[in-house]
Amino acid sequence: MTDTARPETPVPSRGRAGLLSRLPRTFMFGVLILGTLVLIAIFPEFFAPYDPLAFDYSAVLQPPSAAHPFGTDNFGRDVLSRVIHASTINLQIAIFATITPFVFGTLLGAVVGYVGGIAETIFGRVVDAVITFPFLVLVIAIVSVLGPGLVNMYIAVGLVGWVFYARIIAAEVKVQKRLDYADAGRAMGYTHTRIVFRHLLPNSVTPAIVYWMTDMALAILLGSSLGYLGLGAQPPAAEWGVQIAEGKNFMATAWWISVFPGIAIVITGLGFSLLGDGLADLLRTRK
Amino acid sequence: MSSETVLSVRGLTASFGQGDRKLTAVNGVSFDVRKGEVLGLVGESGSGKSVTLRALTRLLPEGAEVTGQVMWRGRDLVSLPPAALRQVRGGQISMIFQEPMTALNPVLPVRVQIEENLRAHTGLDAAGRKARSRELLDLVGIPDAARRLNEYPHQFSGGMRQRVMIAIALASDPDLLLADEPTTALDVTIQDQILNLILDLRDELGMSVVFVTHDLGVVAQICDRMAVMYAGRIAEEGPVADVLAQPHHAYTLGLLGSVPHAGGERRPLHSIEGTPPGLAAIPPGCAFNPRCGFATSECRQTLPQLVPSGPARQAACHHRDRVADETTVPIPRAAGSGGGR
Amino acid sequence: MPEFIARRLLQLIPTLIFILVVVFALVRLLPGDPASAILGDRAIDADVERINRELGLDKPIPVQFWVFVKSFATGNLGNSITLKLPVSQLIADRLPITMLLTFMAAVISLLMAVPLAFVAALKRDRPPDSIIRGGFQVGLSMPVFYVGLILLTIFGAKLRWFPVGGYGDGFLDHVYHLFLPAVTLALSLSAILMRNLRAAIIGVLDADYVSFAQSKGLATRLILYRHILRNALISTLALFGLSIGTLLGGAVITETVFAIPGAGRLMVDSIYGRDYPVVQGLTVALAVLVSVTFLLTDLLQAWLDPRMTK
Repeated sequence: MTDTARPETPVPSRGRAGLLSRLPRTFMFGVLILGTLVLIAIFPEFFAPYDPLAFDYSAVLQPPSAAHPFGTDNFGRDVLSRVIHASTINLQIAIFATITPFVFGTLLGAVVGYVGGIAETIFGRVVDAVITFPFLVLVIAIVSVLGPGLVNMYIAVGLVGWVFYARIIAAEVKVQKRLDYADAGRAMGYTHTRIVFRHLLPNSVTPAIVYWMTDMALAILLGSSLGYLGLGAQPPAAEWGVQIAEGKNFMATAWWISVFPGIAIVITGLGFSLLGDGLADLLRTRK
Repeated sequence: MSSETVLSVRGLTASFGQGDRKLTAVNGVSFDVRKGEVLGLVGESGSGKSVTLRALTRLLPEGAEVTGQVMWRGRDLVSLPPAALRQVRGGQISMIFQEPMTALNPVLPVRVQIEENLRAHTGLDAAGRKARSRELLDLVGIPDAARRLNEYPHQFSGGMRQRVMIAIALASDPDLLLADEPTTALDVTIQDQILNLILDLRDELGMSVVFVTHDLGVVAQICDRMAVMYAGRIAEEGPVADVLAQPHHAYTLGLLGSVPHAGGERRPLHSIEGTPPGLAAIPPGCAFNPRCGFATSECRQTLPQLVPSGPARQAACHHRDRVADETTVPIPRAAGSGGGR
Repeated sequence: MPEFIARRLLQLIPTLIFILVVVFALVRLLPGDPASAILGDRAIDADVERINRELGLDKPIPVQFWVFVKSFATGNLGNSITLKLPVSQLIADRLPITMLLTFMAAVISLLMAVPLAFVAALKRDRPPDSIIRGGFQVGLSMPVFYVGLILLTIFGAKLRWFPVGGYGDGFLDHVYHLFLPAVTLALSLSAILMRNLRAAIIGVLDADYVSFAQSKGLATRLILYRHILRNALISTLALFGLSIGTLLGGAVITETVFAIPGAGRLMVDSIYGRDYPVVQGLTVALAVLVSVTFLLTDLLQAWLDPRMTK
C-alpha cells in the first residue's frame, strides 16, 4: 500500500483565492439561509403583508394567490404573514432552548473532564439514565407538570439537554488534559480554575459548538412538536408547529395552512445543518 | 529452471483522474515473468511498483484507467471481462499484501477467509474445504491448525498473520503470486522466515512470484531477476546478480549507494540527493535527470528507451556505458541472513 | 461470548435500579402534588388526604420507595386514576402496539438506509450521492408530525391505500394499519443511519481487506455483504441502539397523529390527565425497553465484531 498512487483530491485552480472562495460551500449556504431568516425574524412587520392575527371572514380558506401567496386559514388570516411572524418565535426557541444547555453543559463537562475519577463515574451514570429515557417523553412529562408554554419548555429542555454538551466537552477536556501545555500550566502554579477555563476549555469547545448548530435544528423540531401537541407556544400566537396543528383538519381541502409552515421548518433545519457541517469542515481544516 | 514465459506485460499504463488532472502512475511498463522464477520490482515510494503489481489484475481503485497488454495463458487481462477476471484472481494469480493486520478481515474467522477462496475457485465440498484449509495452515507452518482455523486475525501474532495471508492466497493453487512488500512490516527475524517460506513454496508448488520491495537486501536474498522502477517506468532490468554487480542505470547505482553493506570497505552511506518527482511534475527527458550525476542535455530532452544492454539485460539510460564503468559495487547482503540462495 | 452476555446482563441490574430511583425521584421532586392535580382547585382537605393515602404518599420517603420497588417486582403497579384499570394491564395492552410500531420503523429505516448508503458511498461525490444525501438532509429537517400529516393526507385520505388511523384486528391488519406510521417514524432515523453508514462504507472501501478480498476473485456481491457491509454496520449498529430512545419519543407523536392506541398515546393522555401511576409505570417500562434494546444491539455488535468480547 505504500506507494499506491491515490490521486490527491484535486484542487481546482482559482484565479483569486479570496477568503470567501475558500469557505466550504455548505457553510456559505447555511449562512445565507440563516442570515435571511434572522433578518425576517427581527423585522417581521417589514416583510409580512398582513397582520398575522387579523381575522378576515370575507377571505377564509383562500388558496394561494397574488393577494395571499400562501393562502389564508379558516379565520381568513394570511398564512404567509403568520409564517413570517412565527419565525421570530421559532428562532427564539432555537436559541433559548439551547443556550442554557450549551453554557451549563460546557462548564460542567469541563470540570468533570478535568477532575475525572468519582465525578466522571457519577456523570457517566447520569448520561446512561438520560439516554435511557426517551428525550421527548421526558420533556413532555416535565412540561405537563410545569404547565404548557415556551418558558416551561426551555426549562424542560434545559434540564435534560446539558448532558449531551457535557459529555462532548468532558471527553475532549480529558484528551487535552494529557497534553503538555496543561502540565506546563500546573508547573507554573496556575490555579485549577485558570487551567480549566482559560486553557483547556478554549481548546476543547469546538465539537460542542458544532453540536450546538445541530441542536438548534433539533430544538426547532422539538419546539414545533410541542407546539403541535399544545404544550409549546400557545395559540393564537403564530408558531410553525401550532400552525401545522391548526391546519391538520383542513389537509384534504386547504393543504396550504399546514404545508407552508412545514416548509419553513425544513428550510430552517437545513440552514442549521449546513452551517454545522460547514463549521465542522472549517474548524477541522484550521486544525 | 525452465525459461517458459508465463506472464508477458507490454506497455502497461495506469492513470488516475481525467483531463488536465490526469496522473499517470505507471507508464508503458513491459516485462516477462518466467515459470518458477521470482521477479523483483524495486523502487522508492511513488515509483509505481505497487500500482504496476495491482494493475496486472486490474486491482485498482475505481476511476483508474489501465491500458496496454497483460498476457496470461493466451488471454489479455487488461481487456478480460470482469467475470473471467475473477476466475483468474485468486484462482490462478494470487496476491499478498504488506500489512496482514489490515489485509485480513478483522471480523471473520480465518477459516471463512480461506474457505471463501476455495469456494470461488474449486469444486470442493464443505468437508473437502475444511480438510484443505487445515492442510494449508500446515503448509505455511502454523501449528495446531485445526484449532486456529476458528480464530480471528487479532488472535495471531504478526508473523503468523502473514502466514495466514499466504495460506489464503495459496488456497487454490495459483501459478503466480503477486507479493506487495509482504515483509516490510515484520521484524527482521520474522521477515527472514517469511521470505524462506515463500521460496520453499515456490519450489514446492512450482509457481512464479512477482515481489515488490524497496529493499535491495531482500531482492538479493530471494529474487532471480529484478526490474528497477523510477517515476512509473522501468529503469533497468536483468538477473539480480548481474544488475547488482554492475548497474547499467544511474538510478540503480544510486540505490546501491544508499544500501548499508555488511563487511567490505566502509564508505560513507550516501543516499540519492533530492526526492522522487511527484506524478504531476515528472521532468521532461529522463525522469531521473535532476538527481543524476551523469545527466547531460540529452537526458533533459530525450526520454531514454529501454533497450538491450547485455546478456538478458535491458536499461533505459543514455549513459549506460559510463554508469557501467563506475567502480563495481559489492553485492549487498540481506540484513541478518546469510545472503542469497 | 457466554461470559460477555453474562457480564452485560449483570450490568443491566444497576441500570434498572437507577431507572427506578430516577422515576421515583422525578415524580416526587417535580412541583405540583398529585392529589390536588387529580381533584382540581375545589379539593377539600379530606379528599386530598384520602388520595394521598391511596397513593401511599402519606408514608415516609424510604417506605414509599420500598413500596415502589416492590410494586415493580410483583408487577402490581396500582390502578389508573382516570381509566380505573390496573396499570400493569394497561401496559400489557398498549406497549406491544408501540413495540410493533417501533420495530417496523426500525426495519423500514434499515431497508431504506442500507441500500441507499451503498449507492451513495459507491457513487461518492457524484450525482446519485448528492441526490440521496440532499433528500435525506431534507428528511432529517422534517418534524415527525408533519411527515405523518402529509403521508396521511396523500396515501390515506386521497389515494385511500392505507387506513387513516386506528390499529385494526389481527396481526396482518395491525401491520397494515401501522405501515404509514412506521414509515413516518422511520424517515429521520434512516437519514441518521444513512449518513453514518455511508461514511463507514467509504472508510471500509479503502481498507486493505477489501482489496485482498478482490484479489481472491470473490463475487462482487459477496464482497459487498460479507466484507464491506458487515464491517461498516458495526459502528452504525451502536448509533442504531442509541437512537431507540428517540424512536420511542417519535412514537409518542406518531401515535397522536395517526390515532393509534399505543403506549405513546397512553403516555400523553396520562400526562394530560395527571394519571401518576400510569406515567410512573409506563416511564419505567419504556426505560426498561430501551435498556434491553441497548443490550441486544450490544450483543449483536459483539457477534459481528469478535474483537469486542475480549
